[in-house]
Amino acid sequence: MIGIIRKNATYYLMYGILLLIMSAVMWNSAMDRLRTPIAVINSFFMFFIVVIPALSAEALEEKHRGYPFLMTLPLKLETVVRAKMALPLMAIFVTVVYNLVLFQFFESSPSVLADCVKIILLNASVVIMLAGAVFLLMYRYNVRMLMMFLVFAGVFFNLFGLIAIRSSGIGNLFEWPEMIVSGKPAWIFIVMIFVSLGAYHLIFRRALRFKEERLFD
Amino acid sequence: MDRIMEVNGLRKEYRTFTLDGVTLEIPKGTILGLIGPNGSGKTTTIRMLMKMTRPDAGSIRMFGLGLDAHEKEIKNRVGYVGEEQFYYQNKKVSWTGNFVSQYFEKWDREMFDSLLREFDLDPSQKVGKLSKGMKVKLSFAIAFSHHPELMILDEPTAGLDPVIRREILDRLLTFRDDHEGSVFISSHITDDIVRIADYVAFIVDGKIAIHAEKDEILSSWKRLHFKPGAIEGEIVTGLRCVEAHAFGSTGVTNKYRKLEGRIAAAVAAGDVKVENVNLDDVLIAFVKGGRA
Repeated sequence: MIGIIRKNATYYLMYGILLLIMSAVMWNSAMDRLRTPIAVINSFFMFFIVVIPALSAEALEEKHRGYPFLMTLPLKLETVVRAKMALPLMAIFVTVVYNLVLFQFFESSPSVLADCVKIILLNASVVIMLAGAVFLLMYRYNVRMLMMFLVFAGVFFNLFGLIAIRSSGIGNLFEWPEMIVSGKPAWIFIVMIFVSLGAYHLIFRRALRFKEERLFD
Repeated sequence: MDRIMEVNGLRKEYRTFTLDGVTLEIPKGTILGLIGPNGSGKTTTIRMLMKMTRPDAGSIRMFGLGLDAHEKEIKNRVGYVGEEQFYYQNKKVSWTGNFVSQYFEKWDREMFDSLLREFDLDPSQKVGKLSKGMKVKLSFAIAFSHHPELMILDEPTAGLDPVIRREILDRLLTFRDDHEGSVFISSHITDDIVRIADYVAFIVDGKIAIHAEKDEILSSWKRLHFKPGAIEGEIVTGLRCVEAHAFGSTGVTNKYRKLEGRIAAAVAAGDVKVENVNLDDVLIAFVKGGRA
């Protein structure tokens, strides 16, 4: 398992470092004090830090027909998939810690800081689920189809966001998370993380079955 | 005798092909050759042995252990060389060696390095730049370097030049003779099987047609050349691949030892000529013979 993690970790390190530096630069140039929208934007970074490396690693695995090679080694497919799906969790953990550390460098009121922490925790839960969905789709279909789908989805959400902000009919998108977390106790969001981890485990079992069907049948 | 591998009733159904009831066994320290035409189910069988294809029915045991429950332990004791060599093409030979070494309990780094030298493989070269033959050599270097007890080989010599082919076959014989290793090798190059196998199994249309000792097969299968009326009609109808020509007819039998006495007089009179067959002839008899 360690070998598979080490092999795939390169992608997470490469994209992760790049995106975290980008977010730090953005924070530094755009803010004098901590505000909740920045926590929301950083959650998008968290999503990309997880999804881009996962897709890149899998694309390369498919290109080189890596799974048939791995199956000749004393390795179970379950171990391979488990290692691959453990990496996003590690990346999410690092990103959450990074954000929590970064929050300390900015001036803020205690309530804003608390909301920012809750937003990051909430988004960690969402990204855990989205990472699971990415693996599920990747193993059910293939990486290329998923990449195309994500590009179209990205374009759609950009347009949707633009229209939403311009019309103000459904409110500012960046304020939604603040509305969700505000006034709620932090433990709810910690529990949510554990719930999403449980769901992620169930997704892992299903993703493994999809992969087995695609590889072995 | 210890059986290193026991396969019972393996079945796999595809839309256009069914592998049906494949049953095989390999005694310890012997070589079993699996012969069959293209598309007969050789690769499917081997993929199931490596858990790369899931059987619909049947069981696989190696070293007395069930494959499903002991996959990791079994693969640690098996050296595998496939028909196609799947490696990360953008990685170097040395990286590939280091990567696989993490998974094999008995990985022998010195042996791997010495095999690379012996096979003229440059550790700093990218796998994608290697020729097909060199990739096969890399596979053998990996397969031998973890001291396997059983080698599972799927058409490993296809497309290789005769020098490398001979080198690899000799190495397999040494593996059997010096280390009491067992080998399961599939091939449609019957010369390779004749050269090294102790047992032979023929697979035709997804079914095992024969599974016996090579010498037994070669002694019971003969080609008969006979003049019209020289042998009984019942014998003629039992022959495979019967062809008529200007000087009489020719046919192949798998029951020569039973027939020997009945045709002895005709043989003595020169009306029947008996000729040895090779494994190619046996395979052709199964594929084209049309007679059981």
